Amino acid sequence: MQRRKFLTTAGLGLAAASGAMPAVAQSGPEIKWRLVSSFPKSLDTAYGASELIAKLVAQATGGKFQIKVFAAGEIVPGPGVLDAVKDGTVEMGQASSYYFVGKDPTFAIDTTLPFGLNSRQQTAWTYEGGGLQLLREFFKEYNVYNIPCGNTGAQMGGWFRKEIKSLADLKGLKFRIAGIAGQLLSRLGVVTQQIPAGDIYPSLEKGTIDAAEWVGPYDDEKLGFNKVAKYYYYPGFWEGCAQVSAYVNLKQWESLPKEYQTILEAACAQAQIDMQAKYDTKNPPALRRLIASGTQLRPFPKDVLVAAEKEAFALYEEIAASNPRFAKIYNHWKAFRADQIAWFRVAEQPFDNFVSASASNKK
Amino acid sequence: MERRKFLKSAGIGLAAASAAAPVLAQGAPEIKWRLSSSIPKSLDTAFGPAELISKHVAAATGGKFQIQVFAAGEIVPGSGLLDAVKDNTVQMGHGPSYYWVGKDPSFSFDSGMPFGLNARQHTGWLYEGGGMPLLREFFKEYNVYNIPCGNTGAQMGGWYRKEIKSLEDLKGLKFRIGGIAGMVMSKLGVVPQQISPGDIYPALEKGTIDAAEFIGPYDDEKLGFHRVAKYYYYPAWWEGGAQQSIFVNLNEWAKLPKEYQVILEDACAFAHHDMVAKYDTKNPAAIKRLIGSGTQLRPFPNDVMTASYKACMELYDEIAAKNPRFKKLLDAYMKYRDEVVPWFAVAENRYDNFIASVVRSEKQATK
Repeated sequence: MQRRKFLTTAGLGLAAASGAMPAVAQSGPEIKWRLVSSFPKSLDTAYGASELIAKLVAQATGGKFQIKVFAAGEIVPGPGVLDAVKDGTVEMGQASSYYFVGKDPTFAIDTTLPFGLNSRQQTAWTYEGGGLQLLREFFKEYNVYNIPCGNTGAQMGGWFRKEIKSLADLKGLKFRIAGIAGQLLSRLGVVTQQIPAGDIYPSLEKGTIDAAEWVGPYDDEKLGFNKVAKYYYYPGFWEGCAQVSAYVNLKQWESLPKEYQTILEAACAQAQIDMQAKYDTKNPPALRRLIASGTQLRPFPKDVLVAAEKEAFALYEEIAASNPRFAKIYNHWKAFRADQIAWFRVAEQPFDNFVSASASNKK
Repeated sequence: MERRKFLKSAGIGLAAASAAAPVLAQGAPEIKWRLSSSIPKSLDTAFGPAELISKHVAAATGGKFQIQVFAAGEIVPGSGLLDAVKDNTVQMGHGPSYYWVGKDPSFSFDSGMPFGLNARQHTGWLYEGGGMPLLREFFKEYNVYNIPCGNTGAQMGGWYRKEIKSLEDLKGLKFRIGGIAGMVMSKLGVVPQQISPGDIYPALEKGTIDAAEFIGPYDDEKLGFHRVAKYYYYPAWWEGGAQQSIFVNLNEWAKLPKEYQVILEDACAFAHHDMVAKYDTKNPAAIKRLIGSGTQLRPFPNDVMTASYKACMELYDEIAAKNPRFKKLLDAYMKYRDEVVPWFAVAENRYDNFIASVVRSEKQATK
């Protein structure tokens, strides 16, 4: 396997014009990295963040820092992204870290936890609330430096062949859902199924499964679930947001000049804005098209939400009791969450709810 | 006044090691700019993005692109900022554009509109919904290139000496509020007052004014309004999110090497997250302290919200009828709002509202 072509440190340049000019910016090293995404190209919005980062980094360095992007499976399978970065097979990965909860449930917190923070709160916790330091300490054990680079926002609760009228309807339901969300739902009697994206449609069509969740209107529509399941439930209470991050091999990160580190982190910030903006802009027309095609939109019954919320926190407490890494980050996160909820229901939610009611009255 | 020391385009560098390396990166110019903010240093969260951007740009260019930051009034008064950038007295300005609605109400679309988009939706409109090309076209007339670099999130409705129990209570209310929101309020009988931040406290204390709005818990607490007005209303329907931007002199922007343009725009993106994250992290603790000190939190009565909404939409139509720039922006903005808001009502709001309701009932249960 081709490894990275190493840096040509170039000359010191003609620094004559300004004695103060640091050598690095003058003639920054040429660096070529490979990035593996855990997303397929078909998830253009999530995968797109990787390509945007590569483009911005190249532009900011006059083409000297090149990142070549590979989609899931091209050189590393999606779930293998973490190990590939850890072992230095590639310098960089991009993923939602809840794909790695099999190694440690703590990974979920970089993405989201069921009934957790919304997109903006997740960013606040990460950037300002102390979350990033805690997560970096955790990722360091995997030889990884993590940088947030996107979010989907609140997702949908998935596609159901039959209506869910109460908590009782979840019993025995064969539902394609994974990770901590799967663990949570199995406590409510759901029979969780792990099925790769490409197999969801035929399974749902044949009735091998009763329901499946994926992302939101824009991505779901592309997979055509509306053609084989009528009811589209909301909200995806296990994904009040889903943060996507860039994962850099720690040694490679440390070997970057400070300029390139700054450029890469800022490019990730730009990608984070871009991804959320893309989802927020593409989901509304997709939802309208789905409804026009006959999809029935349904809120989860209250008893489902109430029971699920209770079980979620029971589950977290159980995990925390036996996993000190999880406990450390979870307890910090939980305190931050309580403050966020109290504040957001003052200014943000009344504003959103009022504008929402007014905008729909207009129609 | 010292003008920027101009770029030394340096030599072509020793390109031998890599023939493909472009000349610009090789011998990137030294650039020194001045940035004037319309925000005072005391508003650390709102002023902060200017300093963060400067720091980021310097770090990304090995110190070659230097931006010296000045707070409001240090070299340019806040109100004169747009002209200072336009005329290249400073290369860059920073702040919310609604300070300039006196020149043209269209400036409001960059910072945010009453009963409009929330912070995230505003970013969505700008980045992906077609808002940015429209705003850049508008700012171009002022010789300015605009880059978003922060948001306060939804603000509070301000401090009131007396309770507002219904729409009636707004009649004759002397309320410190400016811009488009002030125009809406005056339709409802409010007497809007334009008072600079430093003068709000004494005016409220003496009763020269009955109420004042500023930002949110973190900033408001610093100015001490809770000591002179008891009631703290929400939400600020006029500021569901107030964006601030960097405003670059267009000629200076065009002269920047492509690398520096990308570096500056990405630094603004970083600052954008940072500012929202700071407000979101600092406001919860501040509102707890305010309530602890005796502040009474109140939602605006329904009839106030409904009447304000109606008056606001009427005002938009009135302005649009005589201002084609405003109309163009309004039509695009409202089209996006009417599309994105019903979607947020499904996944986002339902999620947020449920979680808020659970936490509330847990609190009641423990009482």
